[in-house]
Amino acid sequence: MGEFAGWSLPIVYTSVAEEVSAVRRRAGLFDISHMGELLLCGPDAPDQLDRLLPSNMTALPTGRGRYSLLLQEGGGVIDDLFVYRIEPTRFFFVVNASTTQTDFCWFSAKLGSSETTVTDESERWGGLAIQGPEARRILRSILPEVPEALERRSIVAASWNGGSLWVARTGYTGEDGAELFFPVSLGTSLWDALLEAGASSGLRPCGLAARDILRLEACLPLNGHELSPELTPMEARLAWVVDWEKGASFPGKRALEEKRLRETEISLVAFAVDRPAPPPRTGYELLIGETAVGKVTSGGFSPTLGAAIGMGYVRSALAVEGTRLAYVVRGNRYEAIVKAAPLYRRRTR
Amino acid sequence: MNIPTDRFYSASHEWLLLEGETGVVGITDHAQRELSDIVFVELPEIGAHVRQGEAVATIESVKAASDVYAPVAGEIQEVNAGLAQEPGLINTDPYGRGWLFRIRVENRAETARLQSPEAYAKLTAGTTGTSS
Repeated sequence: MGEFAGWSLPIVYTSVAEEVSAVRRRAGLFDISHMGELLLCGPDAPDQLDRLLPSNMTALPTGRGRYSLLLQEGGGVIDDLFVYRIEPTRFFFVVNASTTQTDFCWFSAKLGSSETTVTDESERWGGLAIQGPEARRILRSILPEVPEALERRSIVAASWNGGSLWVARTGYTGEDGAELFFPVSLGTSLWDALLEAGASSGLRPCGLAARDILRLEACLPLNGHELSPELTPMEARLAWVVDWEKGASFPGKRALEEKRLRETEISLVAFAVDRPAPPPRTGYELLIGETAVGKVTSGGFSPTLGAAIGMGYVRSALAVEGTRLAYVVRGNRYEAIVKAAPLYRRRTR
Repeated sequence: MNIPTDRFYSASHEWLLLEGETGVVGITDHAQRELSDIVFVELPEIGAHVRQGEAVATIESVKAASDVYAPVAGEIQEVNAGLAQEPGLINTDPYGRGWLFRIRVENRAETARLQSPEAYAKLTAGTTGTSS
């Protein structure tokens, strides 16, 4: 177990490599109850969200979710989040554990005296993620009302043990699967029932260490690592999140429009090491020759690729596939080659 | 906890198996569990002369980098080259195929400062399951 943002969390159950492999080949079950949940509702909720977030929220259909960002006026990233429109004027946000309070206060302040209000549901809601090629089949064996054809990023209500929960076809592993959000009292029975239903399909409980490697292989950003208030979506290669055409202005819009006209100084890259190497760790300098050209934001050993991998920011001119970067550990130099992101892409079947 | 009775142990969780003039060194089952998945190993140079207690190798796990200390003084004679491609052998077979290096033992009397299997079992008793 480990401590994170005031939560006690399972880091590893058996072995990170085994847990990662289970998710890539069969299925893995994660306790993600530390994630924050906010509810935003009110008659003008869609319009309010359109002026708060860079994404087009009025255009989001009910029953669908969208990845978005909380931005400062200067364009810096406060948090990344998933927004689900669960009813026409009711939105469910899944935010990072360490920024839940910040996000809640940000929304409260921005909404001011509007008829739309935000509530922090994090203490009342738990979360599970079931991920991997077998995940949805296992899930449907205990929650048959979840449609087989549930579209990606869609969310539906389901019932369990007399309670109701939300099931979304989303995840943070680069694999197919679902995330479940439910009143905490349902957590234990859901966890046990899923593990039992998935036992014969190779479902394994997975810890946060496996989750971190899986998201790194899939090049999904983590707030505090790839995302920070010092950087904008332009450096983080998340400009696709921004809807430049929508009518509403939102925090950071002007700053991002200016940034859009010129090349950013630094850009996020993914890289891999092609010989045995110590894992590149957060904060290591990335070098060309003896010159520091960037820094590692996340790194580790990828059991799927059998190589040390990482992400980091480098001077934008170097952010091209094939650039040979290096990092030094205990006096030894290791070559890190810039690769196309994501480093792992699941086979579509 | 798996603690073979044919070798010596250090408080820093290395084992030493004496074979004539030389000794084979590795880390204990307890240590590999605490470290969890081992992903890279940096071994000493063959021919290097090391002192008892000197940091001579580094093991990187998914969690952190940890030093390995020489349980006795001597000259490094051989290293386990297989670990470059398969560092996970330390997890799966810490007392066998996961050995780290072979050392020519300079002074057998130094083993008096190491622990017996029984003493090492006491040292690590009750600490399992706390790893995270």
